[in-house]
Amino acid sequence: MLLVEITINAVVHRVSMDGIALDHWWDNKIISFSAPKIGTAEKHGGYAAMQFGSVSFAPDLFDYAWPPPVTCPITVKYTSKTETGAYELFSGTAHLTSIDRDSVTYALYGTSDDTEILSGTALAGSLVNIVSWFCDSARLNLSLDATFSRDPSPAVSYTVQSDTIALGLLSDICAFFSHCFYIKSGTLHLIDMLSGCGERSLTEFDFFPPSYEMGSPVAKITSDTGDVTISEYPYGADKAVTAYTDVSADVLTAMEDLLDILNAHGCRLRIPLSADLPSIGEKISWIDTALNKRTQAYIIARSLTYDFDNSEVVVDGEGVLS
Amino acid sequence: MKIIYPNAIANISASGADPEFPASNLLDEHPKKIWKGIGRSETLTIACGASGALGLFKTNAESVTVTIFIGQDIEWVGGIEWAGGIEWDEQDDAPSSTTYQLSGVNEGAGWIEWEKINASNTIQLVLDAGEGNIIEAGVCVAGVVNSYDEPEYGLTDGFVDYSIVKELNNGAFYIRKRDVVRKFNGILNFKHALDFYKFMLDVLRPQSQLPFAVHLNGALANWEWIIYGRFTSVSSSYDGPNQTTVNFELLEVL
Repeated sequence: MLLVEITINAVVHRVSMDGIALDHWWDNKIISFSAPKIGTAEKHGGYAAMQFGSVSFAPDLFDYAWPPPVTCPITVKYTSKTETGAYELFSGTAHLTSIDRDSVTYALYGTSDDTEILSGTALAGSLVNIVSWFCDSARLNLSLDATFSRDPSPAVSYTVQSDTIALGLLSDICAFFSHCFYIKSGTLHLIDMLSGCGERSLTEFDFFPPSYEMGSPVAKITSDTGDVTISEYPYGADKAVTAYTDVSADVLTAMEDLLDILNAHGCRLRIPLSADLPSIGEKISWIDTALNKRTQAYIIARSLTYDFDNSEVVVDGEGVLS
Repeated sequence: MKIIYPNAIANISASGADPEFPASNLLDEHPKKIWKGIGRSETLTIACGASGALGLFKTNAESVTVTIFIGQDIEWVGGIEWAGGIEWDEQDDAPSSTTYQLSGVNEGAGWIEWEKINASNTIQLVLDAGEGNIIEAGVCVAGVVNSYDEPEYGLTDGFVDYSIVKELNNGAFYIRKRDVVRKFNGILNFKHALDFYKFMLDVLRPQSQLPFAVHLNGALANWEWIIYGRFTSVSSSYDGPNQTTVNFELLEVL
């Protein structure tokens, strides 16, 4: 159940799609809600930011605040049963986009961080230590959970070339080393894309027919240090990356990991919405007996789309079929 | 068929109410938006205009005791009083009560009728939900009864199911159960044009797509015939000098 708190002219309104009597009455004033999505910046990692689209409300929600205000603070939660057990998906600002006879539509905007890392800053140390440095109160001011990062942590050595937004730089560094991260409740969770975080095994009662898609092959990756890694698909595309270490062997190792992910089997898996929502980086495995032959599969989730209208979560990721 | 229209309830209060689910929710057109009491038994006091029936929907009450007071509490404002020997006549303000047992507790619909009162009146409902339950109700409607001939035989009674059903990978089905409402399709016959016009123009048209309290077959007391729904489709034809046929669809609301 989707639970939305929207503050209209300083009055908090609790609304939902169905009309639910929990601890409070959540009025059925949501007409539609475009599926929120969290996904990594690259297939091989980076910052997994929550991306929200829009929400349409019944016009009579604004009976006492007409015309509807341009902006409203908004919090979006999900629960399968109780109000106290609701899981916060998003907190930010709703910005008015359209009014018509049937609905009032707002686009959703999250908070952004414009902390900068200055040109000339030298970053040297393990990836975990570098991420910890970024999380410091002087910069992103976040706690760090590195439980599921790689051990040993790859070595970073890089000098910032120009003033740059901290989150964007951190995203690029993590993606180079095939790590992703997401931020929740003030904590940055760092995850190794090669091994994932947590694991769930699905039975065939737990998912809808998946689609298995190989992306376009990548023939080679070339770093700005001149190192080159070649795949077994010479007809594929070429990719260029910025290397965040100056040791050639480490650059090649990192790029081989990227090739493994970019040329891996991809899958779009759809599972029913439930109390136990999957998380970014989670390893999800299943056996598909509906294909030509019995197939074992797993992916590391790099993108989650919460489709409340259709009561499902769409999971995209790369992994292995066998 | 009987329809309560217009809803003549001016005000409704409860002896106890959860602050999140006040008595005013009983006047909202959404039965799911309930009033919830504090204990198993509460009293609703309803200030009403001209009335002859009351419909109560989506309640867990096992019994309803109804008392109707003609007129309302009458008193002078402060500092004013009658001269000696004169006082308000409140003879009709304390009639006997009638207790109804609601069958079909899970459905929670009740329909109570009395001889039409043309003046304003106060309706008192004492609702009891039974041991271990907190009393609640969704919608209350009271007012004048509009009576028509019963629907013709051939009335259909089905469901609209809002559940989500999707096929899983192994061919089994994932079902996310949501609300299921009842839907009726039937035919009314009007022998007199004036009755037909009253139905279409004085009752249906002003209410538009808002719901009505309907006793679908007034001759049958079962709860199954008491519906809070809207007429989603109405079409009529003049089939003879003394016959106008109305095809209708009645859809229960949430």
